[in-house]
Amino acid sequence: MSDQNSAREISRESDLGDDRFFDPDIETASRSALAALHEEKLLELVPYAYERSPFYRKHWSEAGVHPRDILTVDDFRERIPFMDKDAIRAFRDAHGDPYGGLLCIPESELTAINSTSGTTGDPTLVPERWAAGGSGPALARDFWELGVRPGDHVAIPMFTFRGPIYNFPHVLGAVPLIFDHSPAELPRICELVRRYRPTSWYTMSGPFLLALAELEQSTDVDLRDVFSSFSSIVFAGEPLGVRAKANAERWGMPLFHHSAAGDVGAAFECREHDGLHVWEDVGFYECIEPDATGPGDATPVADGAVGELVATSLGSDVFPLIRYRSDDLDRFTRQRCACGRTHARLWTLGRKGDEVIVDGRSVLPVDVWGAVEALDETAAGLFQIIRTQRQVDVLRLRVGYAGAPSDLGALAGLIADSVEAGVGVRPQVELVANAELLKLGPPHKIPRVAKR
Amino acid sequence: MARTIAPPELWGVGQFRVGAGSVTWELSQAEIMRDAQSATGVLSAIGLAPGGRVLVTSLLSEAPHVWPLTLGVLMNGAQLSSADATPFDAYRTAMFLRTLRYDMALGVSDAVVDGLEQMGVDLATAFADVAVIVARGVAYDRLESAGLRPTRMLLLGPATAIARAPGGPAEVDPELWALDTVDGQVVVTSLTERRQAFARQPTGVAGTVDGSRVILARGSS
Repeated sequence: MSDQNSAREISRESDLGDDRFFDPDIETASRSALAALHEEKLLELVPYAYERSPFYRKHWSEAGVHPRDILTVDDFRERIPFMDKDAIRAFRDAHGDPYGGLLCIPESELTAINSTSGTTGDPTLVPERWAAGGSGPALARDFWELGVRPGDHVAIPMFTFRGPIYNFPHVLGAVPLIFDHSPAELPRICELVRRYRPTSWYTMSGPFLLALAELEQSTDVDLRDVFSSFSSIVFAGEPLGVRAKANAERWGMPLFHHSAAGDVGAAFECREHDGLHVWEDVGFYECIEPDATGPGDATPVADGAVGELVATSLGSDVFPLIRYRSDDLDRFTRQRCACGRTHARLWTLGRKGDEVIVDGRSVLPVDVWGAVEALDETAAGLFQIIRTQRQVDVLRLRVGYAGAPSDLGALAGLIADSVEAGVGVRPQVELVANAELLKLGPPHKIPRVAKR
Repeated sequence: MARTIAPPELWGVGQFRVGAGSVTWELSQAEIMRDAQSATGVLSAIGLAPGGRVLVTSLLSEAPHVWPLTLGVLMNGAQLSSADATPFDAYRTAMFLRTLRYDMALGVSDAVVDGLEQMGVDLATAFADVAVIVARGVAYDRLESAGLRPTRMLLLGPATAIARAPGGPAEVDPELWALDTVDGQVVVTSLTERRQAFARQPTGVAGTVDGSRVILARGSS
């Protein structure tokens, strides 16, 4: 982080004083209070879902579980079976129920029916009943911590599929600047940022950082000036590559990482930059051995170790996910953060479904990233692992390049050398133009794994 | 206790398009609510009823136009779904149309139609069960060519114009906007108090006006 940026953060922190929490009672609740909350909510949720959800009735009955068996959180952990997105899709297809058997209120009471991103397949429906205040309160805690205060502006280059996300700054007394998440918007974004001087940005992505680098090269825009007003820029979608990170630092971007938390909530870094906080009054989170097949062998990983995130909705009586296996590999801790918050934190590593085992060695996209970015022609870090199955004999990569390299064969060899040096596995490399890979994804990311 | 903070008077800062360019647009909470009341009446007039369901396709940057329409959907007692009006996100539009029953598709644009056609989706089949298809730009003509009966929608600078029946001209709420033409281009003037007042604001739309209705010039969409 640049000196100028650090000075701005310190200044901002000083401005904030002790005023760090949006909802201090819940954000700093003791672990015993959170445990009591979990017990209360989980023991309410289990019979509620069983009575209303055909999916859970079938799924739990097949596992020989009835709500009367669940009297403690330990019972919940030891008896309630896991579920995942494939199970929802299977129920949907088998029973002709578009909600996968999870809807727990009459359809007529819904406000909106939105959908998941569809990153890992067909999007699944997300039915919602909007309360007054919408989704603002949980996000408000995160953005309050990131420095948003009444009267501020918040830049929101986003999508519509999550609904009217642009309204959340109002909960903080702040005003949204609304943009599309499209590189074509960047000149206008830069212009309006200089006019309104927003303090926060939600969200920044790898393709946006790449487009900013191109904008810097092709125009006289001063990106240090553009980003000088921000106390936070929320980065999401993918890991942050080394080159992209270096550019962000050069431009003085105060980046904070953000991720989904098992489709139940969101996870944001706080100003300590020591993991992403999840809100444990919104979700009950477990981190288990990734190879677990059911509650019987689902050993929780040790605090601070890597496992698969399993999430249960505590805040949804509409469409609760219960013991939902996220497929996300995270390092997970419930240790109190230096910020004073007591809720769990995680560090995202990748998707379990993205992992390939090559000659006994685990390889995730994040392992390949730096090696691809290291070469000038592939500095954008656009690549896919070709994953025909989890266990493969050869690591196959599809890598995007910029410009018009004179010798693609030689470039493929250099990439293979770089990956072999970084990962310990020599890949087969297929080269395609960056623009072709960018066409494969929504504007904020590309699929990092392809079946062919 | 969570903090309770009054929402700002300024709802947000967005934009509207004029030809290939855009104009920055500040809107107050009060005018959003006024536009939402107007949208509620328009959506009801074109057939939205309590218990209905609407698929809204838009870009986030169109929120100053779309949020009042969204509130109008809710104030009519209907449900909504959202998809981006981009070729890429057309798979989401296709998924919604395949999975759920919709009474109205609102804001279907060229980009959405492009995306659906790239996916090999037959427009007539995809929208066959949607009673009211509110379309803009060339998408209107393409849906009509597919044998559908779309309702015309125009983003007319800061104003939203929607026809009251399939085949009819798009019209603005005459209590909110006055229309005129300058050199063959429709211009709009705001009639109510707005954070940002508009006087004969160019819209980039070629045509003539008949009161609050826009008669598009031949070849214009």
